[in-house]
Order: sequence, then structure tokens, then C-alpha cells
Amino acid sequence: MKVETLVVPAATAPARRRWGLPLALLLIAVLPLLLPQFQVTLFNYIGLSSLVCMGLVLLTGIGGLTSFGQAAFVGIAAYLSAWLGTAYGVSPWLTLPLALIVTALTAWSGSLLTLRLSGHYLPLGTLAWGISVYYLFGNLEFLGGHGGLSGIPSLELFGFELREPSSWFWLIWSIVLLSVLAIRHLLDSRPGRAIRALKGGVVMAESCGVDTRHYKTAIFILAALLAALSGWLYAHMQRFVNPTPFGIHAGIEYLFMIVVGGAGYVWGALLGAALITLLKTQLQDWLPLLFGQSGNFEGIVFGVLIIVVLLCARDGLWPALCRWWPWRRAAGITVVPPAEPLPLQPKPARGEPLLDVAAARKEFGGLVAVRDMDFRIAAGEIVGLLGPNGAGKSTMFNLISGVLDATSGEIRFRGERIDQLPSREILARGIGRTFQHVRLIPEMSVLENVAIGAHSRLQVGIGAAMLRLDREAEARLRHEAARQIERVGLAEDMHRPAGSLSLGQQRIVEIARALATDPLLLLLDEPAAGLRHLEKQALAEVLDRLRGEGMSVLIVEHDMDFVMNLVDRLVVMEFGQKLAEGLPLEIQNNPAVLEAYLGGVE
Amino acid sequence: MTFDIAILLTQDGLTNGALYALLALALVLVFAVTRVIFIPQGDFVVLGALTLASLQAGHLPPTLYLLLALGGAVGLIDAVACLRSGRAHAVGRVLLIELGYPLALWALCHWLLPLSQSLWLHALLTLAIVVPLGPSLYRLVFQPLAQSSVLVLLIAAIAVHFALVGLNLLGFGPEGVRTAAFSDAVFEIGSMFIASQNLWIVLVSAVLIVALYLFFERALYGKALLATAFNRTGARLVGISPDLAGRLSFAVAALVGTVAGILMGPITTLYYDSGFLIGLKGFVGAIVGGLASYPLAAGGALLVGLLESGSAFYASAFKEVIVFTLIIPVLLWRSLKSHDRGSEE
Amino acid sequence: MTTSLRLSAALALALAATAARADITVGVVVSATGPAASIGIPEKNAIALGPSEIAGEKVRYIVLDDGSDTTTAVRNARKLSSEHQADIVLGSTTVPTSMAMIDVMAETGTPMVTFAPALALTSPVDDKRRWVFKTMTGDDHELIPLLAHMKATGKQRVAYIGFADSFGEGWLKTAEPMLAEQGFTLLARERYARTDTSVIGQVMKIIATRPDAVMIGASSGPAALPVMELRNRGYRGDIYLALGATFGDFVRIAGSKAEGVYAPISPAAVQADFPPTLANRDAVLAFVEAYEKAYGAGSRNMFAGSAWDAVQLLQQAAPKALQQAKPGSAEFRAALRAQIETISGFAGARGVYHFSPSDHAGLDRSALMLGRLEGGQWRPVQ
Repeated sequence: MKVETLVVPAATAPARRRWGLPLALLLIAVLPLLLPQFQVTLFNYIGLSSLVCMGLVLLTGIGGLTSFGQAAFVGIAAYLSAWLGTAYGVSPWLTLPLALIVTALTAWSGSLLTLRLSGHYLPLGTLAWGISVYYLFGNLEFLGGHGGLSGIPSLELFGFELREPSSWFWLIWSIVLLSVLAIRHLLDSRPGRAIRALKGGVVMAESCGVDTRHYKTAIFILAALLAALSGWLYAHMQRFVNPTPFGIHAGIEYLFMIVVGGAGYVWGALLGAALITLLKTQLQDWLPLLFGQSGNFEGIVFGVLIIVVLLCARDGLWPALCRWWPWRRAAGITVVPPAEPLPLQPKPARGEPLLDVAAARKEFGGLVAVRDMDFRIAAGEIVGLLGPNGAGKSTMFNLISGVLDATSGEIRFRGERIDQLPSREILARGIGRTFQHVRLIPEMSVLENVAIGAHSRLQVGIGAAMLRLDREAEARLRHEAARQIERVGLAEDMHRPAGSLSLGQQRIVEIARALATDPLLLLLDEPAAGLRHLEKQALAEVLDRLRGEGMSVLIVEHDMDFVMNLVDRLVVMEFGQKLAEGLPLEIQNNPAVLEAYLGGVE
Repeated sequence: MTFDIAILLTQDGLTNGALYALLALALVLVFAVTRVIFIPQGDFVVLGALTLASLQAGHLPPTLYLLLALGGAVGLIDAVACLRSGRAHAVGRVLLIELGYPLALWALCHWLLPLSQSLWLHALLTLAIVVPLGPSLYRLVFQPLAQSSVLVLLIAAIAVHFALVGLNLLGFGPEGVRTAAFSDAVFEIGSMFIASQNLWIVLVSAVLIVALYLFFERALYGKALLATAFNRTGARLVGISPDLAGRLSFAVAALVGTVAGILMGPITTLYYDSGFLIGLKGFVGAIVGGLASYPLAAGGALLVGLLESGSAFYASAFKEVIVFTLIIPVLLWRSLKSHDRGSEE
Repeated sequence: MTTSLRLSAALALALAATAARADITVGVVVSATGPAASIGIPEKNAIALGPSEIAGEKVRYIVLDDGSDTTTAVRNARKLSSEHQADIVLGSTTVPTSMAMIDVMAETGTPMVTFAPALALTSPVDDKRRWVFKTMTGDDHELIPLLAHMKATGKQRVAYIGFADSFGEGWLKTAEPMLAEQGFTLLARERYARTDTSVIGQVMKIIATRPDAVMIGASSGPAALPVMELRNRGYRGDIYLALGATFGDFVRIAGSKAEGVYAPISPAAVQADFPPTLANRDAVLAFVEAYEKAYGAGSRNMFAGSAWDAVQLLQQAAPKALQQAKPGSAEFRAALRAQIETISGFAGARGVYHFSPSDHAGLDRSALMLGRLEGGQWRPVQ
């Protein structure tokens, strides 16, 4: 493998990165000395909101899970620390770990309730939870009820009490900076790619070996922890808590912040928090001039503003800003250095039985989609599953890949029954797959998309990723992804966003991703559907190369011409049943097949 | 608790529950057709009641100006769209409809208000003013976002809610309103008293619920509307414009909200910001129904009403906590029932 | 209209005059929006009537809204003290927002006069609260005339219903020990929210306990809901409301159902003939005349009275403080604080103030009297 040839060194990006951190540190050190005190205070509040928003970006913008309940997590931590501090005199440094643990446990139990459910239940559930937690705070006697708790101890750091806004600025913004670094590290790692893959759908992520429940729970807890950190800081900075800052309107406001800033971007969280906070302070001065009286008119401005942002810049202002900023556009192309190859599964000997489908049957209600199908695939063989639209090919495919459970019958892989296993388990046994409707993450690069495929071949924890202890493993994963991309001939497009490729190339990227899972059998779901002639040719070349390497493949297709020269053997389905099986030439001349395909031969 | 109290609480719970059920159905309908989780549903209740109160007080309701503003905006957008697509001749018609309607209504209010104090007239005018706001909002905000995810639509809905609450305050002020009752009669059945207004609420709600149900489950056009929810392109192919379906569903939601506001006005005091919690309680009902099933949603909403009046009696401080935590067992049940893997959104 | 003009002018001035800094800067934080808006707005209106000059020094008012939110209140307090070098801060409207501001005021050494009722804001006068004064009658002021009347009319069994927020909670917390001390039995403690549409459950529970009197810890229009429901459900006993019910829409919304209910009334808020013996009669008349001239007949209310008095206190204290230091300095703020603390026997619109180093609550207990709603008007009960 000549992976080194893939490397395109880039000048701009690393240079910028080298300057970024010292510049940020300098700003944090100097700003509070330069700015008037009130501005410093404003920045402190922006920092506190940024923490919550970063969690929300991870959860909502990147993970695709919407929560209105983040303010409640802020409140739980703030109240816990406030209560322990005022009632029992517990030091804030002791309440911090406690607050984090309690919040994490709350988030975890919440995730058990909601994360299994699809889309809109989580936002609605968190909406209700945000409201009930607010009233709960207000009605619990020991938490000071609606009046709140005052006299919360301030923080002491190295024997020095934090009183001035500027000392809080240093603490808060150091924490914000560390969180930004940690989250950016996380996103650029194995678990981070898994989290970003969640948006591509559960089926795709699971088929790459990503435990989606685990990662959903993880980001839910992570977002709650960031909120808790913010709440703990809030309680000790403000030294007074009452229910209003943790109500449902605050939860909605956090969501507004990331929508305005850019929900999919860590920097969007900071931008949004800053914009909304500053806007709120300014509106107080401007609105009475505009309306001639005071009222809750912020709501009008915010409402209209959000609608305008949604209509004009749906991804928020951060990406819009990036397009504007000329130097941002010079996308850094990172080097993919050679690294130790990933471990491989032992390959079966050529001709060894691989897949054995026996009397597989799938019924939906009264409809029999697959009626007692039988066929086999041996190692090194390329088999086509052919049939007109609606013949049950896709259902058959889903039975093998574990998206659907068979109603009856057996599917065995290397002698082991897999027909009731979930797709992640099936992948673990060595079956990789592609999707008819391409499921790539369009804004991720080709390299990153393919690296998702290698997810299950190496373990890297979320903590290790945040602390950058994963660089060796990461290099191996990226190297493996680069190797697979070269294998399918897309080396030149490795660093482009997957969404910018043509459909044919995207299909090939999907094959590379499936190859990165180190499969013993490759399942291709209508790879040629919708492709133009040249694209089909390119695809055929890739498949031809795989055949040369001895890969076992099952292609589901309805385009007979495409598979004819590619496969060793064909299985033809119609009305959920096997119509014929044999060599391509035999099938081509089988009258029953011709009948099914052409509606009868004259 | 004595029998009398139980009866009273049930009566109160059912009255509120019927209104929540009405809202829950509108929410389910809007979600089914447009995938919008319509948070401002409750704000329409308030708009209805506040507009009616302002008519009863002999003022021109500020909602008229909102209608005019939204109509102007819609007219402008549609006119530009017409010009762009080379249908210049349609511009006049578009502007005439969008601006002419509110202006005609304004003139009508001017003329009729000093002439008649009829409750029915005021209620009709209220409907004429508030209901068209629904489709206008759809045209301005949600139609351009129609292809977006449920999340984006939800956030847009919340943004609309914020704007409406602010406009309510601007137009009507912070004072609460209570409208005149349709009838003050009180029926005595055995040992219990039933205010006729409560009967009105339950009856009108029931009629509307059944009408909605029949329309969307039985009538062909209603079914076709629902079909757009599942397949927008398909619906277009069979001749149903998703835009029209969206506007229609918003009109129904606005109608339901306004009717609920008119019904609620005499039995309670409504403030400019009362809508949020009222709408959300309808939501809890809708969630019980999985945002899909009409009968379950209506049942869920009735349950919310009963639970609310029960908890007001037993533990009034924790009423909201109890009502909104009802969602948790429902979610738990749905979560246990759900198939662990497979289905995508 | 005049208010907004004045305010806009004040704001414009505030924006323009950032450099010229010898004036007395008065920071004001009110809840002009959010749940407490109806209270915060008259307070702001009263501030707008404040003098533009005290003892030859220009007075600059900077009015900020906290939206009834504590975080914003603290942010405003910071803004006022650091950006505008406020010499004194007036406000805020609610107990939580005022409570949250105390730390900033103490830290920056700025005197603060709050319009919120809770005694806990000014008592005990410790290191922080030495900077805080208040011009609002407390819940205890309200309860004294009510309980006295209940006692005098032989009531024993009392039920309570009030807001599920800091207002209702503060009222109940103050009432509980006072009721117990005077031998009343508290039978029910019910809550409801300002925007609730029904209180039948709570009212049925109260009626089931067969009370001699019902106390309602609620204010303004929303206080009408339980009164109407109690009457609708056949409760004939006496009803005692909070001071807040004599304000805003209560009478309009409750209508005839509220006839005969009792509430503490403030001479500054009620259109009635008060005896010439009233200690602060002239101050009340001065306030009413100025306020109603600007905002229309019948617009008087106790919240505006409290804000008015806060400015009055400043007017009392500032001349002496000016002899000790220049505005804009820490010394001036300290002197202002010390001067307010010495004010005693001063008659304001809300009553007679007696401040001392150990008492920053100021108003004496005669600030409120018992009132009864008769023919849609609050009348003092002799």
C-alpha cells in the first residue's frame, strides 16, 4: 500500500491552529483588565450560557436529539450546590463532583425513558420535564421555595476568594476554553464520528458497529454535565438562586442561542450565546424607545429574529460568517500518515460455506413479503439477487442484514444462526453492507465517513478522545480509512465533503465504508440504481477489483445487464419467492425470468 | 371527599378536559399534515378571548391590525412570487384578497360595533378576525420551511409563540379579561348544579371533535389531506397541494383555538400569556395519543383535565408538577412498547 | 404618552451624557416586564416624576428592566454600579430580584432602596443589608389589620389560598406564625397559579373544611378567581385579601361577587376620605396630585407610592451627603447610606418612616389600615 502518496500537505490550517490557543489564552488573560466591569460581567454570563449551549450543540446540532430541558439540569446543579452550601456549609469544591454525579444520574434515568423513542418525543418530554422541575424547585420548602436561597458561599481558589467579576471571568472562560477543546477533540475522534453518524440514522450507524443507544445516552449525559458545570458556577457567582432562571423559558432560550449561532458548530454555541445575551441587554434600552412603553416585547423581536434566521440562514450564523471570512475558506487538508494496520478477522478459505438462507419467511400482517427463500453463498463467490421491483429483494436483504427479524426459517452465517440478531451483531460476525438510498454524512469528509466503518475494530473511549489520548488509535483508523478509499479508487476526493460528490461516487464511498468494517461478506443494496452509464462503469470496475481480491459479495439489483458480467451466480426472486437460480447465462435464457422481467416474450 | 365534591371536580375536570381535547385534536391534525408541533395553539385561545372581550367593550380589536399586517406581508410575498413566475395579471387578485379582506372586516367592525351588542355577532366577528391568522402564519413562516426537519419546524413554532405573546401584550395590555357569558342559567339535577356555560363547552367541543373526526377519517377530501403528511410528492401527484393542505390545517387549528377561547372567556380570566400552559396541557393529551390517534388524544386530554382538577383538590401546590409528569409514565409505556431497533423517523 | 416621552428623554440623556459626571446618578431597576410587570410599570412611572435637581446638583435617572428575572436584575445592578457609577439604586420590584441584587450592592458599596415587601430583605441589618432600605409595607403590615378584624369578629377557623410563587409563599410564611400566636387554626393551605383557569378543586377543599374566614394571598386581577369561585360555590363567610388585591383589575374582574371582602389598604392607593389625623395626610395628597396629574385621575396606587417615597428619601438624604463628598465617589455613596439611616419621623406617601442602624424596614405599623369593598370602592373600616 502506497498510502504516503495520498498525502497532500497543507500550509494554512496547521499554522492557524498553532496560533489559536495562545491567542485565546492571551485574550482570556487580558480582556478583563481592559474592559469595563459591566462588560466583564456580561462576558461571564455569556460564558455560562456558552457551556450549556456547547452541550446542546453536541446533543441537538450534532447528535440530532432536541432538548428543552437543559435549564433544568443547570438548576439541579445550582440548587444542589446552593442547598448543601447554605444548609450544611459544604465547600463548593465538594459540591461540584456531587452536582455532576447527581445531574449525570438524572440525565441517565431521563435517557432511559426517552431515548428509545423516535424524534419528537424527546423535545416534548423535555418540555414537560422543564416545566415540572421549575414548579418542583418553587414548592420544595428546603430549597427556599419560590423565594429562593440566598447567602451561598463564594468560591475560593488557592486561598483567594473570587469576588470581582474579572476573577470570575478568568475561571469561567478557562473552563469554557477547556470545554471547547475537549469537545473539538471529541468530535475529531472515533467516538465523535459515531456521534456525528447518529444523524445519518440508526440503521446506518448500527450497521457500522456503532452502539447508537450508548452514544445517545453518552451525549445526553455529557450535555447535562456541561449544563451542571454552568449551574454550579452560576450559583456561586450569583450567590443567590431561585426558580426563574431554570424555567422552561430559559431552556427554550438556550435552544434559540444555538439555532441563531449555528446548531452544528461548537463555535456556533459561543456565537449564539454572545449574540442573544448582548441583544437582550441592548433591547432593554432600545425597545421602550420603539414601542413607547415597556412590555415583554423582547419576545416579538426574538420570535421574529429566529424566524428570519430559520428562513434565511437555516444552519445559523456561524457557517454564514465562515463563508464571509476569506481565510476561513482555505480548508486545511490534514496529512494521513502511515500507521500500524488494524487487526483483521481470519479469512475463510475459498469455497467454504458462508451464508445459508433456509426457508426464510417474512410476513407483514397478512402480506407475505418473502416466502420461504433458500440460497447459499460460499467464500469468494459473487452472487446476484435479482428481481423486478416489489419482488421482495429489499426485504430479503433486510433479513440478512438484521434490520428485520425473520418470521420463520433460518439464516446462518458460517454455521451460526443470525436471523434474530440485531444489525450490530451481524456486522461483528463479518457482514458489511451499503444502502440503496445513500446514507453518508454529507458535511463530513469522505475520509471521516469511511472511518466510521472502522468503528468497531478499535476501542477508544469518550474520555480518552477528549483528553487526546487517542492519537495513535486515531492514526490507525484514519490510515485504514485512507487505505480503503484508495482501494476503491477515490484517493483524490478523500478530503472533500461527502455531500459534494456525485451519486456514483457516493455509492463507492459507501462500499469503502463497508470495506472498512473488515467484512467477510459484502452486501450491496442496488448499487447501480439511479446511476448514469459512466458511473455504472466505474462501479463495475470497483466490484471487479474486489472480485480479484477474493471478496465474497451479495448484490441485490434489478438491473440485469449490470450484474450479468459481474456475478458468478444469480438468484432471481418474484412475488417473494425464488424464481430461478443458476449461472448468468442460464438465467438470461430462462423463460420464466424473461417472463417476469419483460412481461412475456413474443 | 364527599360525593358532591367528587361530582363537582369531575364536572370541572371534564369541562377543561373537553377544551384540552379540542386543542389536542388540532395539534394532532396540524402535526399529521405539516409535521409542525404547533406550540402557539394556546395563543389562539387567548387571541380569541381577548378579541371577543375587546369587541364586547366596544373597541376595535388590535388583532385587526395584526391581520392587516400579516395579510399585507402574505400579499407582498405572493405578489412577488406571481411577478417572478410571469403571472402579473394575478397580482391584483392576490393583493385584493389579502388586503381587501382585513380592510373590509375593519370597515364592517366600524359599522356594526355601535349598532349591535349581540353576543353572537361578536363571536362571529371574532372568528372572522382570528381564524385567518392561522393560514397567514403558515404561509409566512411554515410554508417556506416545509421541507425542514421536525426540529426546525418546532423551533419556528416556538418563535411564533414568543412573537404572539409579545404582540398580545402590546395590543391588549397586561390586564386579564373575562367575557360575558352566553347564558347565566344554572341547571339543577338532583343535588348538583350545572352551569349552562359548562354544558356549552362540553357540547360544542364534542360536536367539533366529532366533526373533525368524521371529516378526516371518513370524508375523502379529509383523508387525502392526511395523506399529504405521509407523502408530499404523492399527494401532489393526485392533485392535492401540500401548501393548501398546510394552510387548511392551520385554519382548522386557528378555528379550534378561537372557539376554545370564546368558550373559555366567560368561565375564567385569560391573560395575554395564558396560552402557553393551556396549549401544553392539550399537548400532554396529544402525546398520550402518540400524536397520531384522535380518540387516544381526546381521551388523554380528558385525563389531563380530570387529573388537574383532582390534584388542585389534593395537592394544589404540586398541580403542574403532577400534570406534566403524567407524560413520564406515558413515555415509559411507549418506550417499552417500541421496537428497539429498525424503524427510522 | 408623557411617561414614555420623559423616559425616552431620560434614556437619550443617559446615552449622550456619559462624560459629564458631576450629577447624582440614580440607578433604577424595576420589573417592567414579566409576571410582575403590572407592579413594575407604576413604579417606573413614579420615578419619572422625580426631581431633575437636588440641592443644585443635576439628577440623572437610569431605568433598567429586569423582566422579573433574577439573573437580569443582578446584571442590571452590575451595569448600574460599574458602567454608570450609580450613587444609589432604587428597586427592584419583586422579592427574589431585590434579594439577588443585595450582594452586588454590598460589594460595590451602593445604597439600595427596594420596593419589595419581604422583611428578610432588610432584616437583620448585617454587613450586606446595611446597604439596603425599603419603602414597601411588609406582609406583616398587611396581616396586622386583617388579623385584628378577624379576632374582633370572633373568627377561629381560617383557610388560606394564594399564589404558587414567591408572593403567595411570603404571605403564607408570615401569616402562619402570626395566626398561631393569636390562637387561630389554619385549616387549609391551597395554591394556584396566576394564569390558572380554574380553582374549583382548591375552593372545594377549603369549603369542605368549613372555615370562618378565608385568606387570599394574591394580587391584582388574578386574586378575583378564588373570590368568585368561593362565592359561586356558596361560601358566605368573610374573605380577607392581600394589599395587592386593592391594585389593578381585581374589582373590575370580580365585580359584584367581591362586595364586602376585606383587605389592608394604603392611603396612597385608595380614593377615600381619610381622617385629618392621618399622620402623612399631606404627603399622600402631594403624591396623589403629582401622580394623577401625570397619569390620569384614579391612577394612584401604592407601588407608585413606594417608588415615589424612595425618591423622597433620596431628596432628604442627598443634601447632607453632598456636603461630605462629591457624587460618583465611594465616599458619597457611603454618606448617602449613612444619611438615609438617620431619617426618622419622615412622612412619605406610604406612611411614616423611622430608620435606624438596627431597622431598615422603615415604615411604621400604621402604614396600612383595614378596608372593605363597598359598591366597588375600597372604604376604610373604623
